[in-house]
Amino acid sequence: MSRHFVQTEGRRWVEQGIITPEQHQQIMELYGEKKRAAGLLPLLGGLLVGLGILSFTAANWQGMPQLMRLLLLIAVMAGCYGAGEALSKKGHSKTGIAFIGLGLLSFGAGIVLTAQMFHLEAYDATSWIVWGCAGLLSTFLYRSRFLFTISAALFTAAQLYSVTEFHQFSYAAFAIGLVGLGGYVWRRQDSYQVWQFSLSFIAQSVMLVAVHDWKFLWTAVPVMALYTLGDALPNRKAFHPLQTAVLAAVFLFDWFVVLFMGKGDFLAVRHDWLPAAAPFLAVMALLLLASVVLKLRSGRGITAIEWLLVPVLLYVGHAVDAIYVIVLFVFSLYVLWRGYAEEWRLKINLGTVLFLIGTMTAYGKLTWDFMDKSLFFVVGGALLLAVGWLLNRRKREFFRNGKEGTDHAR
Amino acid sequence: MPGKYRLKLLIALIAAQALFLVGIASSSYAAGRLGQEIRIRTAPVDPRDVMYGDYIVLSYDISRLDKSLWREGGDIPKRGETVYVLLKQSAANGGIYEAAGAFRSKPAAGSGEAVLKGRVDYSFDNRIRVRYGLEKYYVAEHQGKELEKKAGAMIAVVAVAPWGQTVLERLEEGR
Repeated sequence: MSRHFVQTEGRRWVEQGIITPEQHQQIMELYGEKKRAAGLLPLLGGLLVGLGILSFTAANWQGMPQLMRLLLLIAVMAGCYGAGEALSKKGHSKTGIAFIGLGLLSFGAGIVLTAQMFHLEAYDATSWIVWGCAGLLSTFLYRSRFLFTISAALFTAAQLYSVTEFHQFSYAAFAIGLVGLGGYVWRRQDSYQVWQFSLSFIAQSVMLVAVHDWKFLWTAVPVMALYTLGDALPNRKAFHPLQTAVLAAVFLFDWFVVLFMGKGDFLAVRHDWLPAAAPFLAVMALLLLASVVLKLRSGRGITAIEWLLVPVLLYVGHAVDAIYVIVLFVFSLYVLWRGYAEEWRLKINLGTVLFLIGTMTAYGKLTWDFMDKSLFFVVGGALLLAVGWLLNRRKREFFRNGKEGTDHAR
Repeated sequence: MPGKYRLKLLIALIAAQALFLVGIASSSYAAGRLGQEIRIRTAPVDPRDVMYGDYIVLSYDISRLDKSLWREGGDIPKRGETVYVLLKQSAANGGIYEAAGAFRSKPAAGSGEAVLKGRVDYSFDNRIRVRYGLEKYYVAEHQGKELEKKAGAMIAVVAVAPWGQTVLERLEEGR
């Protein structure tokens, strides 16, 4: 709730005698604007100071003897870390973290500038990984979201660098990131960080498969393993992004299939995408089994429908765009339905958006032999109406029985 | 994790990072002082546009190896594999070092020989392209123009340390 909302609405509540002006003032104090704005300023300030130091150093760099340069770098780095520690000890935690971040930034600059001094060229992503490790350790020390974000970005960048520059997947970057970032996420159980961890994992899975020229669908193995892990972990509120991120990625992929894999197009990529059916489908079936068992155990069996998005139906071989437009529809209906059933507005809105995306894609893109376009939309509309009617009836029953739908844990 | 405990850990973390930087610098410095100095023929990759920001991208004569130099059995190495390239000093060429063979494991080097460790960039048909980590030469902002005039054949002076590390010392005018 924003301060602005409380301010304007609160006046009305006071006028109607619901709360006293004093109470209104007390409520307003809970939503202090100063606190939030002041949180951002030190970060921006730190960034500017950092850029200034960098450009000053770069301009005078060549004139300095090498030993001097190295000492200066280390002094700046240690100074930033020290200032960060001193500030956060005094309770200025935001400013403190900004300085720790600067220390980390100057370490990275130190690596680059040392390499320049000796004309070193990297063979692999080692220096990025070392940088990421420094970020990771400082994250553990200061338990900061900001530092976690930087560290996650560093490990992902290390992988991207290794893959694009050297055509090699850095298992070291992947493993250290998995254990380090994963360990931190496991201890903190904060959904914001779970999101970043999941996105980094998915991006690296794509790179792993792409750089080895493996059949693209193999990406689904690590990605759906991450999804299944989401079924195994207890704290759903914190860990749901493991699954939400995977579903978002797979939804995007399916949407891509619908958009670009019309008639002949799929034939052209089929060989690059599809692994040998038997081993791939066997692995998928195992993951599905594990996921469903875990779901049933925690009473969320219905969410097994989400597996529908996994693009195994590409093995059908033709009309894959039509198949996946239907899958997208079914999935968005499912999200809508769960949203209404759980009375969770965010999910209802998300389902609506997904449904609209599906509809517009289908309308704009597809020409079909198997079903008339207009018939398809009539069927789709009728389905929506039916789902709406069912849900409303269920809702009425809920209220008749005096129950409240507060099960937001999905 | 507040208090003294965190401060100690932070000091350790700073020390580790400083040590990492000092380590890179001193090992490179030592390689330059203690290493065997060799001269290799090189040229900027794209002579029309020598300056890529503040460094030049170099391509060496020994960056492109003929298949006949591959001294191991089986196929020529693939992208990403590590190779060791044996260089021999050529008497006819004014002491320039030239490639004499490529190996999967480090060969012994006699006098007038040196071994560079490299990584295969790509290989096809009868060519192997190798990167040695010596392909970037950083220059000060104003040196760029001078080097641009000299663009073309150059001699790279490289120090090869007894522990295998290589450092690109300087560029000299080629003949």
